[in-house]
Amino acid sequence: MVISSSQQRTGLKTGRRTPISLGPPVFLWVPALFVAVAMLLAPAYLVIRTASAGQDALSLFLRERTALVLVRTVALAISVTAATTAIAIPLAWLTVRTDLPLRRLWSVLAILPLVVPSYVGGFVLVAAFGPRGMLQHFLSGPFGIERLPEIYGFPGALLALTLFSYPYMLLNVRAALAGMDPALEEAARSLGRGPRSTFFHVTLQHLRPAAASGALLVALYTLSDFGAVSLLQFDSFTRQIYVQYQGSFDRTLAAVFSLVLIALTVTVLFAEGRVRGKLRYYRSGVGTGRPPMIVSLGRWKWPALCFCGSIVLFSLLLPVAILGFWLVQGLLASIPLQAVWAAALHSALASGLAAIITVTMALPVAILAVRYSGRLSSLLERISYTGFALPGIVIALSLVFFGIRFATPFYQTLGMLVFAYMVLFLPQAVGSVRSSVMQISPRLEEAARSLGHSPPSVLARITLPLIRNGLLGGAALVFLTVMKELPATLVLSPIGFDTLATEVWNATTEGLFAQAAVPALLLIAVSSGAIVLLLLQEKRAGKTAP
Amino acid sequence: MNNKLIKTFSISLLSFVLLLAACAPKQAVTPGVSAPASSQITPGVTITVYSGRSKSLIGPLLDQVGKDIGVEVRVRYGDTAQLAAAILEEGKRTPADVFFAQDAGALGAISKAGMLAPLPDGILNRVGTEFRSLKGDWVGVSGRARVVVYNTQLLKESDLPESIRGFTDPKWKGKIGWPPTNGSFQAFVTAMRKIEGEQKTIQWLEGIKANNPKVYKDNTAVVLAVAAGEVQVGFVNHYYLFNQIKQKGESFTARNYYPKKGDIGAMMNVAGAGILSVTKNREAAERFIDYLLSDSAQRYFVDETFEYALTTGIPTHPGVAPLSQIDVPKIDLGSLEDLEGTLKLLRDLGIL
Amino acid sequence: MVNIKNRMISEASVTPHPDASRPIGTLVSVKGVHKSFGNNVVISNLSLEVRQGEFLSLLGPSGCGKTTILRLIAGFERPDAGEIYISGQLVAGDAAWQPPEKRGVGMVFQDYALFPHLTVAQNIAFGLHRFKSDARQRRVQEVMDLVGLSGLGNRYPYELSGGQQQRVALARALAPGPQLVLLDEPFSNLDTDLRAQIRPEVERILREAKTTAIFVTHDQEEAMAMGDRVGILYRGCLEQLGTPEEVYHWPATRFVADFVGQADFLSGKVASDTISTEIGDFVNARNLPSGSLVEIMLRPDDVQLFPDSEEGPYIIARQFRGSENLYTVLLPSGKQIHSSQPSTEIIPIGTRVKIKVELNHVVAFPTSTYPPNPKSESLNTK
Repeated sequence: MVISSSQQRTGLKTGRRTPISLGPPVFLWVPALFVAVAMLLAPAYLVIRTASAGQDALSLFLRERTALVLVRTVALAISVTAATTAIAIPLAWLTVRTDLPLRRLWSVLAILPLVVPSYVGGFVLVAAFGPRGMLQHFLSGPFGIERLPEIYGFPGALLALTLFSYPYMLLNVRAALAGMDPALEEAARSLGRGPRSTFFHVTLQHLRPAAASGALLVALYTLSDFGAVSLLQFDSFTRQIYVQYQGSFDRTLAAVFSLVLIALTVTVLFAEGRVRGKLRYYRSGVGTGRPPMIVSLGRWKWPALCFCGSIVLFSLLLPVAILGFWLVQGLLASIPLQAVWAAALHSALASGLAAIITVTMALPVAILAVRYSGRLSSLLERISYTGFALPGIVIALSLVFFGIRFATPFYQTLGMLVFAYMVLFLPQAVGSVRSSVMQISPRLEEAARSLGHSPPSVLARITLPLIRNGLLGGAALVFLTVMKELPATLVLSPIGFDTLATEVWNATTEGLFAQAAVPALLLIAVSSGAIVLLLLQEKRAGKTAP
Repeated sequence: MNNKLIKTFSISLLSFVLLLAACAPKQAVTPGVSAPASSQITPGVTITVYSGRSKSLIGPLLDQVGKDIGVEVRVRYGDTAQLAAAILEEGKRTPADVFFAQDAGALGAISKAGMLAPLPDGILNRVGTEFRSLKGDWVGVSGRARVVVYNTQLLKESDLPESIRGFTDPKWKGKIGWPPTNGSFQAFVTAMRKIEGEQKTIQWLEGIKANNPKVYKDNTAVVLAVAAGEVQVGFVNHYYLFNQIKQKGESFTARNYYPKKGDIGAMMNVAGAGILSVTKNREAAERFIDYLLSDSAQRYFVDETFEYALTTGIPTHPGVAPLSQIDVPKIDLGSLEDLEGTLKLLRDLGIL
Repeated sequence: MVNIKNRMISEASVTPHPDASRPIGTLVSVKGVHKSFGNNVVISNLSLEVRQGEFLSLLGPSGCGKTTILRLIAGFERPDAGEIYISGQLVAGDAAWQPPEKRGVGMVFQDYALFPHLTVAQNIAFGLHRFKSDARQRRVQEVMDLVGLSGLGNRYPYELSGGQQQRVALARALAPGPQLVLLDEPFSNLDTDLRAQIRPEVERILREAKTTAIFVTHDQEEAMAMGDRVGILYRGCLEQLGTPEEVYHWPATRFVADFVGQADFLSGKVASDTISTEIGDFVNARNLPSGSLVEIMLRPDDVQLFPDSEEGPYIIARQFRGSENLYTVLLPSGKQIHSSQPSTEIIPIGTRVKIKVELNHVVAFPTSTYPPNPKSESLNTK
């Protein structure tokens, strides 16, 4: 007679939900509500602006070209999502589950491309692979190659966005893979499935929620990106929005376009929800604390190393090398280079504050979504993504609109800037925290309550320590992204509060690449420092987590 | 134990950073314009400038202005269009006192919203009527000529047509670069519409479009692309070239070509400034704009950014073609209605 | 003496457990509780009372709602209807609600739910946050000694064996001195030997602590061995609540008869005072209506076999069970019944036998459209 309990112990709890049918406590839904309101500011602004749209606006919007641009943008988003998944899953598996040499090093290096802003990455790719770029020069000599495959347009945009956003996917997938109960795969093997079959039918399935939320981030990032697509001459939807602002100062039309982006976001969110499904993925038992099965690569070691190496090469080493090259060029030409220490401190300060605050606000949203799942908390979680898909300029202007009317003393202060960052990047933190919370069995929290602890106490003493990795991960992600952020910073920062990102922009708009190299390299250095610190923390914490 | 170590380390690092940030000076000291005798800073008077012109180009000048006019000048650097949108969004409560724009279109937009204050005649009369707003609420501060930048390795000057219309010839297929989202370009097309008429403008635009021009995001990108050889010619403002030469040396493989005088391709455009009508520091703002039109500032524009001075008596930079070669069209550079017409045209033709 | 389902049992009918001496008083009172999840009705109009100091086992197959009852009592679920009282105080009902942390109800989860980031001692001390530091330490030590974990205070849960984790879970629940401890399938994760060892220990610990305990299991041997009273649950309904003996010998419903112990059901027909079946007549003890079709419950130990050379039933299978053999006998009608005989003697397969059934009491049920319990066909008991 099959004992169903052992199945429950080590595997997926499927089917019947057993949420705590008690209402969510006040200290959770109040901040969550605050987050919801913050997120709705941008859509509200867009609706207000759109309401004054005249006939021209609508007819302009309904052009054939708009549809073309929309289709093209969606195609890009889908392609980038697919490409990042194709890179991230093997990378995650190689660095977590195999005996790849220098695994830890690869882990760190593979995440680092996140530190490269897309507006720097775009420059670098053009400089390297453009029709008159370094590669072409290098090849034209010995090989007489005059023309390279076109980097501009779709291929370039795809390449740039994939290379610099795959770490979003990688982070999520890697965490899920590391936290997976080895018993699941062992069970599959014992049932006669070979390693490959186990991978496809068990491991990959388990990674679905993580991959889905990673895909969500990547897709929305692609939709909202402006830096890379403009440099690589890809006419995307976001670019159309910027064109509206630039050309006609017509915020109305831009608002109409932005609403479409929101509609796209909703669609993407819907798709992600379906992929993620209603499964619960926590390990019910305390587990045996076994480390996962390590697969031996054997002669596959070399191709694997090549794979990791080439990804790191193009996404990290190339930008750093080219920036270094520009720097050296500048030094040799005795161009006066400014020290940007003040900007560096500002960047670190703003990013640090944003990271702390965003993760703090992400916590109630994530917990509500996992523990008190239902229509309302799902909706709330979804709403928090609206900020992520919109271009920075839209968020910035919506906050200008509301900020200057309703929060005048806070306008153009660091506080408001941090608030803008929170609106923009909350989903990154939510995704990370949510994955962590999902890994904890609700029984632990119930046990704590049965021992006389009130919900806030349970949160502080049980939940938070156990999701520490997720919190750190979310904080690091937000830190990184804020370091690179440009449009909102330009509009909302206190005057004189230059950041490394604005310094880079200042220099690159004038084509002053040597000048740009200094803040860009510093940006990369500081961000890398943050990531390395995070990853170190992750390792140490590995012992105490289930 | 290691955990504790990392924690202590991070916390002390964080505190150190925060401490530094609190004490750090606002801006790095940069080599800049040498200062004439500066007046006392009037205590408590500050003006806020939203500048669409970049810090690397005019930062030193703006640092100097404050010292010279005795006012604290705080500058928000950004993209002209985005700053204009921000000002419009901010409305009556905008903290900006002065808007220093890269092109007249942006100023026109703010003017149309009724947010610019009329400037005193003393300021307006310093420049020709074609360099200021017809309403008298903004004034041009420096001039930039439209040119064709070309790659010196691939082309000789004699290869280039006399008129900008010549570039519609099919032999230029795949060799042209342009920045249709750029304000100066749009102003240029507007001028063409006004002076040569809609039909000729449409013909020209369609002709160029038929030659598959490459689209770049701004003038700098076009100049760099031309020098690299990605394209052979580009339609830009004149001074970007000189900035690149300054950085990269005389061996920079691009030079400016001016279509013959009278051709619409050789027209002058301006960067300008206006005062926001809600300002509480009208007097200081006026002093600021006045300074921009002073000899020392105009010389700065000539010597450091290679632009044209708009006030009389300042000679053009030797490397830059003299004003006699440039035509200035008699149109209202800031007219937004005209700009919107241009945008519609560009959109209809599928260029934007 | 006979229990009818869904009525509360009067105290007088139950024989107190011979070992413990405890006051008679109701600790937990569940009245008319309903609970559904979505369209799934999990508990339906359930009422029961738990006495102070008693061990109550809740037994039933998967999905019968027994865990849900625990969760309702603990406060992790709210009933859709009905009321729950603990120590006379209304903790769940239309107007009232007491959150779990205030109820003083300890819980031992099926998967132990030990806090992985805390040591054993910290886990146990978790419920003692209101104690002063030295009092806390003392209590932790006391409880660790009680469960036999002394010296393991600084270990982490993942370093412990299953049995040790089980004990930590128990110690942790007991440390605050709760009035009631709920145990959700506490032994199902342990292997048989360990289980045999631990169970009496857990029982001893709980009795020494004079704690009332409700524990849930699908293992009937366990339920019967440990409980002062056993409640049988099926599909959200309480089929019977009584002492193990009562439940075994006087099952109130066919389900109980089938689920508890091993049973065969022989069809028969009622003729006023007797029920006639193919192996003989039985007394119509339950006064079932004349002419109706019924089923009589036969336990293997009720069925005697005598080798016989005449035609009739014969043995088709034999299962060795240590002290006894379980024989499967095929009746002429095609029905199979079981008989349990001492294993000192073996009756070969194929032997024709005469069946003699000695029933102290006859348990018969109207033939119903009860869905067949898969258990009734199997040879295994749990």
